[in-house]
Amino acid sequence: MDFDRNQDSQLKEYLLGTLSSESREGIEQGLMTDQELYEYLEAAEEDLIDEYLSGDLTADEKAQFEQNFLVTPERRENLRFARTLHRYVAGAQTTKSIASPSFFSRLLGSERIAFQALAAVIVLLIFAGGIWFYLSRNNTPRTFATLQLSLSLTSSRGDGLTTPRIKLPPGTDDLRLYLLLPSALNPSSRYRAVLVGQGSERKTVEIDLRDGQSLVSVVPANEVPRGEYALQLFSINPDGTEQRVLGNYYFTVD
Amino acid sequence: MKKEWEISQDAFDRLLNWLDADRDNAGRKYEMIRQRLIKILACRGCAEADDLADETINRVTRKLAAITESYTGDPTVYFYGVAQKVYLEYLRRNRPKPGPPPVDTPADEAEYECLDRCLNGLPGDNRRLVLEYYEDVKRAKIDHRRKMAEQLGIAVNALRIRAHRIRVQLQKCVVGCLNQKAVN
Repeated sequence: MDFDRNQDSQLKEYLLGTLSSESREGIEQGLMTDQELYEYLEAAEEDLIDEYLSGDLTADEKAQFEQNFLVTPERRENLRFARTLHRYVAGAQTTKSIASPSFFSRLLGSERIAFQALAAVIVLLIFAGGIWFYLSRNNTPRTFATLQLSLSLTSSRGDGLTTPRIKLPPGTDDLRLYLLLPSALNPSSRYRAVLVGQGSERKTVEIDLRDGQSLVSVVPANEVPRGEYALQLFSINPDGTEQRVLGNYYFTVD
Repeated sequence: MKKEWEISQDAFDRLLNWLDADRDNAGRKYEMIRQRLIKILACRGCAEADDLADETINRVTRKLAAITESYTGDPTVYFYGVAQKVYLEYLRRNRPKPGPPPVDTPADEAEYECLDRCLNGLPGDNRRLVLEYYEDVKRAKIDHRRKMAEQLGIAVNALRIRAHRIRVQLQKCVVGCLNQKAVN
């Protein structure tokens, strides 16, 4: 069944209990036999709840929603869940690009293979850069290896993504991590980073520099022995509270 | 609502047999019919939609011998007809009263944590879809969803259903997580 905006509005009236009895019976007969219509009505219920929570209902609709729609415990549970989901998404929204599909989501989505290839090239270049830096600056007091990391929104590294890897050459003093921020995040805001090691040990690491859309964190090489790591980022609000940036910066030290 | 008649196993078996000769299919049809009756009765403002749906099914089951002799057609439609009568009787004895306005309670931290855990348990594509789908407000939301649908190569309505299915799955996961927390 193909629904248009008219039918959307009809379903909304049906849910609010304001539809004529004739139209109501038409919808109900459809609901008994048409799975697509049933699912569509459930989606319309969610939209209605979302509109209520966003304050998008008119005063009449709001009253009908509260008096007619919220009659069952199940719907009140749905309202409660929607409220939590709204809060969660609002928190997540500050951490990523919203106006258009982000560069990262495209890379992490349908172009995952391209991303893997790109990530491998970047890591190679950076590793080569790190070696060059090490060799050319051998007489400087400290030597760095560098790694550029992108935020991964996946919950773990085991989902087919290539994790950036680095081998720290002997004598390297520090690992310099360039943390590429999603475009929605302001690099000049305050951040704190937490390095999570294999045994789930957590260590706060300093954010030392800003470089364009990247934060730069320097970790002493002796604190990152071979193993897998995830770096978590927290934005620090003006009032001192912190908000976790969704996702992790994964990397592996070989 | 007081239930006047409980379905015996024999009667229930006859009902399932009427719905479908295949027992599994019949079970699915039974659940589907009950779920839809509840939805319809809730949409009519019945606070006791579950009880009225069960009453509807009981009545059909009680009259099954007569129904199977005379009724031809989709059994689902028959249930709807009986539900209309059950609803009218409900209205006569129990005029729905407006409930209290919902209390705007702050979101529960435990539920938030469970949601975070359940979202992280989703496949990456589904997680991104649901987070992106519920972003933005008003006009921006409509445009945003249209762009998402274009990117995925599907119609906006198909995207809406996809997001709905993930949301249902998430909500079930959150309920399970909260129950687990309550036990521990």
